[in-house]
Amino acid sequence: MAHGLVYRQLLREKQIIFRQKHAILQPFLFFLMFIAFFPLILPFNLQLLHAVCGGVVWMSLTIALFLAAERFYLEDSQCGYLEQWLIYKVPVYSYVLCKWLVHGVVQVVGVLFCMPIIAVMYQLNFLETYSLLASILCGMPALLAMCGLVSAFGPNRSILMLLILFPLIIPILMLGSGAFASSALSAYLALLLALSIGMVFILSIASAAILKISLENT
Amino acid sequence: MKLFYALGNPQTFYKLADQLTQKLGFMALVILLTGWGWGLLFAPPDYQQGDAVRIMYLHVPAAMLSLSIYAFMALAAFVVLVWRIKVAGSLMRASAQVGALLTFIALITGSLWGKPTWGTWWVWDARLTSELILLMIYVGLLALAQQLGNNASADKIIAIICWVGVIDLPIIHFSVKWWNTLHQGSTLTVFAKPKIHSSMLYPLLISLLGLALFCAWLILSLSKYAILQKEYQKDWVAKLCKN
Repeated sequence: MAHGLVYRQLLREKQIIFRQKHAILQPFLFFLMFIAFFPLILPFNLQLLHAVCGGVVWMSLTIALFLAAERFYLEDSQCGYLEQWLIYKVPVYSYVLCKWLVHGVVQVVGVLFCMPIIAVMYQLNFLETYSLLASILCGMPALLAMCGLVSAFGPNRSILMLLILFPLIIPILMLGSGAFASSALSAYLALLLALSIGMVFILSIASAAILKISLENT
Repeated sequence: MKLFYALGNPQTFYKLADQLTQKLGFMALVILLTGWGWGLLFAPPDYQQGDAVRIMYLHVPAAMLSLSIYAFMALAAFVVLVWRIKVAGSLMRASAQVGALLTFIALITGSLWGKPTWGTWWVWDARLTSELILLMIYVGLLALAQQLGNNASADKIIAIICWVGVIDLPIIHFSVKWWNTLHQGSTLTVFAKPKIHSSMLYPLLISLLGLALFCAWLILSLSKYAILQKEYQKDWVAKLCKN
């Protein structure tokens, strides 16, 4: 029966996303916009663009993920659905993981669409594009987990929590932007993947605990 | 085991902490004065750095303690999460304050030491960056503690965030081993002979012990005051204040 509930929650997440496409499209467009601004405003210098490309893409990915994550628990907490999950026997981290899984898949599809556009804007060759794409695919679960944890504190506190937890996002960003056009790409990808797996497991349990605490106060 | 649960009682803990802080404060003062006096006045200058090496007697103990206090805070956070003991919550908040102070001291003294020896105030190498991240985590925990208020659910949230940030500890410790850093490698290890000469090693160890006792005194004092603030309505606090 628990398996049925988790499966139905996955389908429900997909339904929520498809009924409110603007909730996903707006952060996605913000991601593209942020990335597009940098070649426009920086002095036109190909080496400069190549140097900043990794950092810029990862920063915009962080902010876009945070903007999308803010709405994770908003409606469910308002209509009481979240409370039902919290008092049911199935552990809450499966609810959290369902949300992250569905949003992760949607983000990956979005990033795949964006890759050719970014490659043209920053004039990247195939190897650089591949390194950027691979680093994003390997490191995005870690970023998603951190943004998911930040959003679990509730809609009012999420920006404060992002500032507080930003020191922990820094290693992901450093590894991710370091992987861009790097000769030791597989090493960076291995570290990013390890961070992703570790953070998804640990932070889903932490998010579940935070959700339960937020409920105790109300 | 019974002692553990007895310590969970705020009144017992206050009495024990009161007795401990009296002894700890005095011992800390004596040992710190010995260590720093020896290090600043009588220890030999370095053959390359000259007298600039004497800042080591503050920088190294502060840095080591910034990590140890985080580990202690993580232990208190674990007690808060598993046993829900409020005294552990006060200890956790107190050690966040002291740990933040020590990390700040370590960063500032390191920067002052780096200018004459490395030629720069700051460099983004692995150890310095991860220690700066540790300071940011400490400050974040303090901001949370202030914003969430002084109740049990706030304690739980701070404990969870403390454990989320504990990953930084092995990163700082092994950063000089895993990366090619400007910061020197470790000279003091548990199993090997120390790489530092004994004329500098002894004042360093005494300073470390003195600073550790000082931090213990500070943490216990801060948690004592926090307990008094939380339990101000109880009879034993009123009796204490009358005396």
